[in-house]
Amino acid sequence: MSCFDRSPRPKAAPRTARASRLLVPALVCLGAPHAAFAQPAPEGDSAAPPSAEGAEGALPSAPVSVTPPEVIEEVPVVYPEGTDASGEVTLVVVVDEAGTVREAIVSAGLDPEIDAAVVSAVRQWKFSPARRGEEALAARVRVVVPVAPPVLAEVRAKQPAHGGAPIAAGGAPPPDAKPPEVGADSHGEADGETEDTHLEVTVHGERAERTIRRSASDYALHREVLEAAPHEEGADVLRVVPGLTTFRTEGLASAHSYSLRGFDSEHGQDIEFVVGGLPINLPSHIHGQGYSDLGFLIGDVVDELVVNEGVSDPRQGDFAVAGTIRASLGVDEEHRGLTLRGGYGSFATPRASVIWAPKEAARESFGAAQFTSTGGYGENRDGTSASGIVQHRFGEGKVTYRVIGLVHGARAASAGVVRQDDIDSSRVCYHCVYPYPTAEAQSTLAQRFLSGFFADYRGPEHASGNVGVYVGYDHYRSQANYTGFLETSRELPGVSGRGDLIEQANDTTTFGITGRYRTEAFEAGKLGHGTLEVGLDGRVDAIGQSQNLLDASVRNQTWDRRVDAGVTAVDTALFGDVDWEFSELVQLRLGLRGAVLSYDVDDRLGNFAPLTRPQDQYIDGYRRSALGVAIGPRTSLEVRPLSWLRLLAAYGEGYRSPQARTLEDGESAPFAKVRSADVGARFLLSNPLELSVSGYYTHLSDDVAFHPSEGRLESIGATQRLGAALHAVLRPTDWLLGSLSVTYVATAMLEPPPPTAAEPEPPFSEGQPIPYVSPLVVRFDASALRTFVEKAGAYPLRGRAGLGFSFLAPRPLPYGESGQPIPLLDASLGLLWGPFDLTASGFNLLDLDYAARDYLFVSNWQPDAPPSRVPARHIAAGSPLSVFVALGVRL
Amino acid sequence: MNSATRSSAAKKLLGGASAALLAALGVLAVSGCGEAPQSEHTLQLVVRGGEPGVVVLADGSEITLTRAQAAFGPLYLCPGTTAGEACDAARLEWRQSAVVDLLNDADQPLGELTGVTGSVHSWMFDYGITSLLTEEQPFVSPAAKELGDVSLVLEGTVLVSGSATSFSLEVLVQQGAEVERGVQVVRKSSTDDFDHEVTLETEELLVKFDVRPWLLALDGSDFCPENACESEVSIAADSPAAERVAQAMVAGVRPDFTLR
Repeated sequence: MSCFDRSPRPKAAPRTARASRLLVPALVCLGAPHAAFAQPAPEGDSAAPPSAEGAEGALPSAPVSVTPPEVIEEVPVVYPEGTDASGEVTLVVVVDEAGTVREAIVSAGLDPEIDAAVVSAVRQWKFSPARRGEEALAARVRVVVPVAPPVLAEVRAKQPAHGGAPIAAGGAPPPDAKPPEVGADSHGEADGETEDTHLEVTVHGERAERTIRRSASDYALHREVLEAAPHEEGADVLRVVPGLTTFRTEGLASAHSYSLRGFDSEHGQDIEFVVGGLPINLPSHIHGQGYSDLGFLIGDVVDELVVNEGVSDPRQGDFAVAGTIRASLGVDEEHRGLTLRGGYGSFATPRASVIWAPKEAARESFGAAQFTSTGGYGENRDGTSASGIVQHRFGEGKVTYRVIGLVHGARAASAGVVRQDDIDSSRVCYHCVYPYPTAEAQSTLAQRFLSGFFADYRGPEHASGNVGVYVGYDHYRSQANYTGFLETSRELPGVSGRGDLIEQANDTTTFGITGRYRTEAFEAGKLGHGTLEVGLDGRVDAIGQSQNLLDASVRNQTWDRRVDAGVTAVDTALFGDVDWEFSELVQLRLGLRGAVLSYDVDDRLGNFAPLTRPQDQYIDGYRRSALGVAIGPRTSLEVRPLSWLRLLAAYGEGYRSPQARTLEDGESAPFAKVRSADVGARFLLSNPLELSVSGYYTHLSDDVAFHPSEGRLESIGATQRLGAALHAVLRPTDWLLGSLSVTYVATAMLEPPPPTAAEPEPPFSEGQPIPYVSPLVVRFDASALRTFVEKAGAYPLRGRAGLGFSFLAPRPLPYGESGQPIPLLDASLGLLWGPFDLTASGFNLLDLDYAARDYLFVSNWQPDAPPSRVPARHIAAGSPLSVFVALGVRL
Repeated sequence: MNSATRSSAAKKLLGGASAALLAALGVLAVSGCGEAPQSEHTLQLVVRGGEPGVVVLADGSEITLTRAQAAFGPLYLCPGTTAGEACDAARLEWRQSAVVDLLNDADQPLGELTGVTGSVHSWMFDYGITSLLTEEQPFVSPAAKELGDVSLVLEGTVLVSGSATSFSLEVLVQQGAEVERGVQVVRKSSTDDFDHEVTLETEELLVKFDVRPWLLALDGSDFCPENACESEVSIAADSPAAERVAQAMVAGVRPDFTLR
């Protein structure tokens, strides 16, 4: 819940009452205990830009005055020797709900040594927290500390403007000091400024753009949590998402394998990913619908993750089956400037990045580029990746604009999978590749460009909206061999056994628009008050795709063709949402989303009869079109029986677009439908604990699972999931943070494909757990940041430690088999000194050989001997113990 | 209720709720990892021959065998009612080969079938010569090599029109590349009775060979062309007689499979 989102008629803030001990134009945002601190407005921009994807919030209601933090205990600044500067040092200080300083960053300094001394002192100050009524809130305040040479060395507050008392250095405030009353004006701002004011508080109430936490399974994960544990790459920040697992199974250039609360999302089929407002999922991708390669992400610019698990928000679109993850990009004040970072790690892995975030620009304005190369943790795993992201927010007033662009290119070899029995018999090592050209030729190439332009409107009385357009191009090409030497050509008579190296290529060109508008809050007498939102999303995707079998030993000769198709897909969605607060106790959100999905498929190999019928009776090909309408409610009910307790129930129906080539001509429901119900509670406690628990049920009308002989996803019928999740964030001290999530799910296949003559014993049976989905996922992140040496030369010396632990219970496999449990431990240690930071990270510290993915299917990797025909366990090896050392400098 | 009291009560409630939830999750996690519907399993593979005695052929000729050895393997047990191409995913397999003494009616253990439990409704195997998808030439197993790159070797005497002749006969049983490349050549037919449930209690697969029906594919002229018998005769694998025996081995009376 954001600062002022409960105020339907926000009024201009009182321009008095600045008698607090906070110094000078203080920029404040008041966040809910577990909400992000709203980002500060850029200088000269009175209208703060919308928070990235909105912050948690409820409907605006009656104005609630907000009291900003007060200093209750100061620690004097020790004026450094050898300097004689005097003046003011301006800090941006984050005060948590307990009144503890969590961050103190110099925004305008005097001298590096003086600045460091001021930061060191202010970090030890104690505040009374900001409050809204009785509710303690976290806040970001701007503090100006006057400093003078030793004769005036004690830190003292200047005389406050309106009768406020000065702050005695190192002492508690005088008893007559009173905090200011702070409300919110239509821009969420409340302040008064006069030139002689030394104690001013400006509150930029970053009210929610809209309510985004509609169920107990919705989370807003802020940077402090995202960066707690060490990360090998940007997309690893996703690991903090409750119930989500990510692994790199096919090399640096291929999308991660995702799994979220009972959905084996493979490369993104069940999770809607949005980065900086740009949709990432690619419909009808040859390697799996919803393919989402997040290899372009640069971790240092991921500002926040907003996660909607389940379906309860009408904004959730295609592929929001298990949920939606929206990443907002930005660079906070502490990290702005020019940051250069480089490092080197195990397996000949250099990485370098540069981030340029002008200090005077908005939080969302930055440019970033990253280069990674690796020799790979074993045979045939080398790869190189480069990506760049630029984003800029500009404009003032009610409408601001944001432009974003990203480009990504990567190529990586892949070791693919190896049989467990071959590992056991030492025929191949755990991290090796089979010694055949068809295995050694496995690789992936990824190329992508995405760009968007968005205009954001922040109107009076909580009206808001945005419109945007985006374009994208994606090229994907992979060569993968899962089954060894089992395939027979369907086009060339008598040709077989040349290696099952499947080549997949996919090109997608995307044009899209998005827009929404939420009205001002309106009253309905005793029935309460609420807002109405309408919006639309639309995109056109022109897709070309092919799949062939290649003979790697003869310059990738094509020895069979399996797919040669073109698809045009259009997704047009309209949604509406009523957010209604009947009283302080009950809030109802009623939404509806309708989408029209249409496809035109030119399947150039359709109707091909492999070697059984004369080819001169017709010309190969199967052209068809299909259109369907997917309509589903998105509702949630929130009850607040106690001030610290939120009970939530949500139900929604979503959809996933199909692999278009599977459609028949005239098909009227070209999508899979998901029904998702969720109940739970959020506990709005002040520090040190944030907690939410939830239970959920989902039913998917037509699920898909990986099919090894085709190297892609195939239908497995209807499935269901019943699960529970717990998420907690703990801040026992101002320097320690812990985050824990536990997700359990029981899954079942309801209508698996029946036995056929070709497959009399199918791999799936009714009631069987959904393959490849771990029933229990535990994730723990922790970080500590402390100052070791107050004065180490020009700067204090700080130490940082991070830890990430993941546990996955054994994953069910086809044919009723199951995999192995996976416990993974990562940790990092770092030193920060002025503009420099040095970090050493270790990954998989237990050095476990683990299967990032394990499969069960038939393969033959002994081409010169009778083949195995029993489905065997195959593994895609995860990374062994590795270390990485990075040095960063911020200019 | 003041905020401190509320906070305390809330924390107590949360503590209890969290503990209960974690305990429940633990129980669920354990129960969620229950028994799989199928389990990895191995079966002992045992073969048995039999003394055919004197085999009287259709033309009255009589054969008495002194040696009958076959190369056997690989062997697959399949879940479908027909094997062959419909056995892309087998239940159990033995990918080795061994020379089987077809005249020995004692159990001859050959090794272990490996795979998983579950129903099996068909089988398929080769007589030491295996067609591979990956090779133009068939794979000759060590057992077949031991027999001189053939599937079956028979030795004995044949009495044709009163004249006794020692003979040796070599038979090559292999899949024709133009037929079903990469598929085992001997398969259970739809009329054969073979429906079993392999459980963890199932210990052994017994394969019983009977060479007598194969010999019935021969006649005296195969040994004594134009009634001109010699004291010894060697019949090569590419001879019509050997091909008839091969045909009998593939499409005639096949071994008997028993799970026990």
